[in-house]
Amino acid sequence: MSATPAETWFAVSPTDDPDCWKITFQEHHLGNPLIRSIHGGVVGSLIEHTAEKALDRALAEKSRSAKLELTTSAIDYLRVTKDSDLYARGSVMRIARRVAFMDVVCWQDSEDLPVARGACTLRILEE
Amino acid sequence: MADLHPIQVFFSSHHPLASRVQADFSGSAGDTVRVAIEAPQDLVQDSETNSLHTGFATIVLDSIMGGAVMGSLEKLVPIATVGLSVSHLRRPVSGETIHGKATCVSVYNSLAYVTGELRDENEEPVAIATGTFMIGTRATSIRDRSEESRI
Repeated sequence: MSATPAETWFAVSPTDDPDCWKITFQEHHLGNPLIRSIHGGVVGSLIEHTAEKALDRALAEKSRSAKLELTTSAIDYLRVTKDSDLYARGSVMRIARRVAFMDVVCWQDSEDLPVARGACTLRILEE
Repeated sequence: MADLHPIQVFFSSHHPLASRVQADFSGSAGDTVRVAIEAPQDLVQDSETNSLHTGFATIVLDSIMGGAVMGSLEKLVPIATVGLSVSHLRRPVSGETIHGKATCVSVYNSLAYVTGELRDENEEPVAIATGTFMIGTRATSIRDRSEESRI
């Protein structure tokens, strides 16, 4: 499947780990060019993207096909970011009939040193 | 640029992210800032409906809410987002004008408490948010202090 304009702009792509997604650093991702940290909204975008993709995969494993719409994301910014690639791992907290709750951790150098975490709620619209 | 509001500087500058969106500073009053932004084609996630990635709202809200904090300060100091919670009511469509408003509600113990919202031309809500921002963070590169916390 070809990348959407947003996926191209974010330079977001899957990794070898099916629950992990990656943003390849681009100059236009900078939030503070002086200290060369990534914009908090770009970090949040990766968290939201990963939550949706990880839920999509989890539903597929249950043979459920649904359109997903992210409704809420609550993000904690744990560390300052730098001008390098971002990674995020999504995990399911609970999948209910019409909504799902996902946790996402985001890091740069090491998964043990997360730069942000997110709790996302998604609406499940069965097709 | 001395007389410009910080969010006006952000959206009118050659900032690598802000220069990618068509944003007009609509004004500020006290601790509130307003902007009008054209939803960019670059951030379309669903090509059938031309609707944008939720990241568009997240990026704009983080920017204008931080701008509201900067605008409320008597002296400009570095700030950092600590927490941001966004409810995405609907996805904007490419080319649509979105109106953003952010208000720094209060500052307590160096943390600024901020609300933000995006509305469409009919004043219907597109996204609503609350956030906290730490005031007076260290403005040096993480490369100089990789083990330290900024907040």
